Amino acid sequence: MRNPGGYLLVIDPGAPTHEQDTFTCIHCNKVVLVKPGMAITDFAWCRKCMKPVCEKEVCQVRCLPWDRQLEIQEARGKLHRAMDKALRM
Amino acid sequence: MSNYSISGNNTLTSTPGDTVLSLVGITATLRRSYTYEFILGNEGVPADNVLNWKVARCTAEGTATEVIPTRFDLADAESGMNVGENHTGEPTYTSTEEILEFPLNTRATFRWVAAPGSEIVTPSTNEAGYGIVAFHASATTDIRSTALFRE
Repeated sequence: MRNPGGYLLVIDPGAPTHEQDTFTCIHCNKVVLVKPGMAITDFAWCRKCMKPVCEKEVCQVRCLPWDRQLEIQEARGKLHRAMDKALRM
Repeated sequence: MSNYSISGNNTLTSTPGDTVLSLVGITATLRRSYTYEFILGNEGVPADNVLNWKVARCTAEGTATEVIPTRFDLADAESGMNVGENHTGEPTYTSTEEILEFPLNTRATFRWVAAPGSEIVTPSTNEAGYGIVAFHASATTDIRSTALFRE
């Protein structure tokens, strides 16, 4: 794969060393293993992010990058901390 | 950003398994972590068993033995992440949010390295992070995992 997002190595004393490219889904941050010889058309692609996505339907249907999901989770955590602080006052 | 290394071990159990290593944020030192390498393997007697390994997101650390992340550069500050190994109480895993899942023979060692920009990112939220768990129906060998991250 051109510009893989990662590299996987499995070392087994009783078998040849296995190497494989990986990429990280831009929507859910999942690590997806790329089979050797796969073409760009063989895996899902987000045309907004212009990055590959995993096989999950929610990642293929909705474009919500992982960075944006982190911001939402962090904002929610900040709100909960503020509410806890206000309730203790 | 500073680089850290963490390692944990546990004894294998059947489904759903015991967590080997977990990394979560804590309120006092909230920050994102970027994990760029995993090394997973068996440290017990080698045998032809296939383990199911899973790296999944969690929203609570559970009960574990504390691990202090090792700094690559001693001039860096201590890590602000909460790391645990040898869990006796499982983290609260989020269903359908597996980061990495694969089978691995106990004779083999697995290593995954991320390219820059493709790291596993955890939010700067209290108790949010990921855990590494492995299980087998009957084998009870000892397993170990190592993760490298920066924050």
